[in-house]
Amino acid sequence: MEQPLKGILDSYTKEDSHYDEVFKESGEPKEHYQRIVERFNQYSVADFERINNEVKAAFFNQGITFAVYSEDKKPDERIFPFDLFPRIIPGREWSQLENGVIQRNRAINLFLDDLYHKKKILKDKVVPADLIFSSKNYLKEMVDFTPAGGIYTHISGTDLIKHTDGKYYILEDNLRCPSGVSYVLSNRLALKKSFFDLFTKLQTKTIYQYPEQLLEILKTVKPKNTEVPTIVVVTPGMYNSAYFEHSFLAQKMGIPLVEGRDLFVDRNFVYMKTIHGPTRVDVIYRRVDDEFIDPLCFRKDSMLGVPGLMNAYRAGNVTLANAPGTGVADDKAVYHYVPDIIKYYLNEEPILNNVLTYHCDKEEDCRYVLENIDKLVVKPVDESGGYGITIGTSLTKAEIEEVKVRIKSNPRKYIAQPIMSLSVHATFIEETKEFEPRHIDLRTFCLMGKESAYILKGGLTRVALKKGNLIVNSSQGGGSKDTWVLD
Amino acid sequence: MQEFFLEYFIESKYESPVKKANLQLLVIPESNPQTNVLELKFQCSESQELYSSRNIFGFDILNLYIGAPFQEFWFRLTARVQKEEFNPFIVSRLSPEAEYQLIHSLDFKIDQWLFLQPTPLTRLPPEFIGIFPEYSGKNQLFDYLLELNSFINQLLEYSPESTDVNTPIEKILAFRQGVCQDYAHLFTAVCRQNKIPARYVSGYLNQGVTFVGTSQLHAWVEVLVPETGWIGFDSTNNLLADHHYIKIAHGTDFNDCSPIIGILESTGMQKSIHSVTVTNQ
Repeated sequence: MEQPLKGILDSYTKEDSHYDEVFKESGEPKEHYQRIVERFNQYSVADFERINNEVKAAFFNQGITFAVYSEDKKPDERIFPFDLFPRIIPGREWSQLENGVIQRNRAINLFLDDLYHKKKILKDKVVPADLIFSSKNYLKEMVDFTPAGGIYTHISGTDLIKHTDGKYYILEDNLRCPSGVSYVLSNRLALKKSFFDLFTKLQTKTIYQYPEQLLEILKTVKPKNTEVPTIVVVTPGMYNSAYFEHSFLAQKMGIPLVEGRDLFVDRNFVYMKTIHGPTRVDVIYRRVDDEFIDPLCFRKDSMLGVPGLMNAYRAGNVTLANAPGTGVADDKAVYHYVPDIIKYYLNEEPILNNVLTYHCDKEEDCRYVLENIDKLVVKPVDESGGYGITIGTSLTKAEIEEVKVRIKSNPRKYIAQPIMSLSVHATFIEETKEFEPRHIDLRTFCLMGKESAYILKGGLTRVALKKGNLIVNSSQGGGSKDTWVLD
Repeated sequence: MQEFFLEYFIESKYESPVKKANLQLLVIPESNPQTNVLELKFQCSESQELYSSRNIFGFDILNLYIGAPFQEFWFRLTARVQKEEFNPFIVSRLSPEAEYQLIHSLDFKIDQWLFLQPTPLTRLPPEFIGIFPEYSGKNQLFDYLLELNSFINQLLEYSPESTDVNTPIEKILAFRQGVCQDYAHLFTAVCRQNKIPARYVSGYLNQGVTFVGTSQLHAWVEVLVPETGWIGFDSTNNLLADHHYIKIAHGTDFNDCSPIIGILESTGMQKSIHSVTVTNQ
C-alpha cells in the first residue's frame, strides 16, 4: 500500500483551550471540512505559497486596500490581508444564524421607529430613557419623521463570534454604513480562481447577487411619486479608508459614485451635476457619517456634505440609506438591551445570544468593572473599528490604573464584557510557512427594504493574524477569510 | 386686536466673489391662535425664487440656492400681523403638589425630553447652580417662574456688544452682562436644571413701547406649565410675553432659531448689516 504523502496541514497543532472550527478533538477534520483538508494536503508548502502570492498580487493590482489611522501618523495604505483557507459553515448552522440576524435587525428597526415617534419602550421602562436621551447619536432632526417605507437600517452588519461552548454570540451591531462587503466579494473571486473545482463539489451558496439585492432594496424605499429612481453612492472621497468599497459597490450596482460636492439641493430636491445638466437624485446610499452629511443642519465645517440635504429628506423628496440617527441603536450601551428589545417588539425569544455586558453607567456594574478590569474587555460605547478597546489580561498595572481613570471620568462611555474566547481557525502564517490556529469572528450583512429582507450567505470572516490576538478589526492588524455556506 | 408692521432686512457684502451659497432664513412670523399674519412679502437681490421648507420644529424657513458667483446679497421681509390681546397671567391653578408630581413623571419627561435636555448653550455650570432659586414643588410652578424671571433680570446687566451668540454661560455669569439671547439661555438653563421643560424663542418685539432689545430680533423663553401650556417669559424685560411679542420660532437654543444660516463657498471677509422694524399701526 502506498504511504500517503505528508500534507501541509499535518503539522497543525490544535489549541485545546479554544473552539476549533476545523478539527475535532481527535485531530480529524470535521465532516464539512474534510474535502478542503484533503485538497489542501495535496499541495506542497511551495505550491501553496505560490498560490498565496498570486492572490496577493491580484488584490494589490485591483487596489483592494484600506487605510489605517493613528493619532500621530498620516493614514497608512495597506492591502487587506487575505487567508486562502476558507471558513465553512454547514447549511443547518447557517439557517439558525440567518434567522437570528434577521430577527435582531427587524426588532432594531422597530425600536428606532418607536424611539423617534411614540417612545413606548421608554415609557414601559424596558430601556432607560436617559440612556437614549444622553446619546449623541439620538438626533432631534429625526423626531416625528418617518423614512420611506418605515426603514431605518437598510444595511446592517451584525458581528458574531463562536465561543468555547460552540455557540454563536452577537458581539455588536453596526447600523451606520457598515463596511467589508467588497472584501467578501473579492475574496470569493480570488478563491474561485484558485480552487474552482471545490465550489462545484461542495455546493457553496453564491454571494454574487449582493450588489443586485442592495440595488433592489434601495429601489423599494424610493420617495413617493418617483417612477424609476435615480440612485447614487455618496463617498467622502478617495482618502476615506473604505473608498475601495464605495467605488466597488457603485460599479457593481451600475450607479454613479459621487461626492457631496457633486450634488446640490434646490427647492427641496437633490440634484447631481452632470455634463447634461442637473439630474434629480432620489435615493442616496451614503457612506458619509451623519454629522457630515449636511453642513446647514449638522457640522457647519463639513466639506463632505450637501447643504440642505436634510430639508429635502424631511420633505420626503430623497431617501437616505441608512437613515440618519440609527447610531443610537448600535451604541454599545444599548446593545445590552437588544434581547429585551426583541422580546418587546416581536414577542419572540432571541434566537442568538448576547455576550454578558456590564454597563459602567450603572453603579453596581461600574464597581464590578473597576474591581475586575484585569478579567474584562473594556470598550468605549461610541467608537468603531476596535479603537479604544482594552483587554484586561494584556494590561500592565499602570495601564489598568489609566483605564480606571478613564472610566471614572465618563462612566456612560464604557461597557465591559467578560473576555470571550473567540473560536480559532487554521490560518496560513507566512512567517512560519505553516497553518496555525488564529481567532476569528464573522460579520454578516443584512439588507432590509420595504417588505423584503436579504442576508448575504456567509459574510466577512475576520481573522486576528497576530498570535493570541483577540481583536480582528482590519485597522488592528486583522485579515479576512472567505466564508462558505453549504447547502 | 392690535396690528403691527414688521420689517427684517439683511445686507451682506463680500470681499471676494462667493462661488455658490445655500442660505436659510428663519424670520417669518408664526401664525398661531393669537397671531394672524395678514400680509407677507419677501424680496432678495437674486433673481431666483426663495423656496420654503419646514424645519425640525415645524417652522417655515426660507431657502435660497445661489449657483452663480455674487459679491453682494440682500434680503427683505415685510409683514402685517394682527395680534390678539390677552392676559398671560391667567393660568390654571393645579395644586403645587399635583404639578410637581406631573412634571416628575416618567411619561412627561419622555414627551418633553427635547426641552429638558441641556445643550452646550443651556448647560448650567455646577458652581453656579446654588445661586438660583430652586423649584421644589412648595409653590406653584408659575410663581416660581415669575420669581426666576425677575431674578435673572436683576442678575444680569443688559449690555449690547458684550457677548455674541457663542458666549458660554460661564462667561455670562462671570461678567453678569449680556443681551436678550443670554438672558434667554440662562433662563432656559435654570429651568432645565430644575427639570422644567423650557424652549428658546426668537421673534419680533414691539418697538413702540420702552422695551429693551427691540433694535434686533428678540429672544425669550417658553415654559410648559401643566394644564395651561407654553407661557413666554422675557427676563430681559422682566415681563411675560403678551401681544407685543411676535414669535418666529422656538427650539432647544439659539442654534435652532438662528435668523440666517449660510454655507458659502468663498474666501475673504464679509460685512453684514441687519435691521428690524416693528411698528404698531
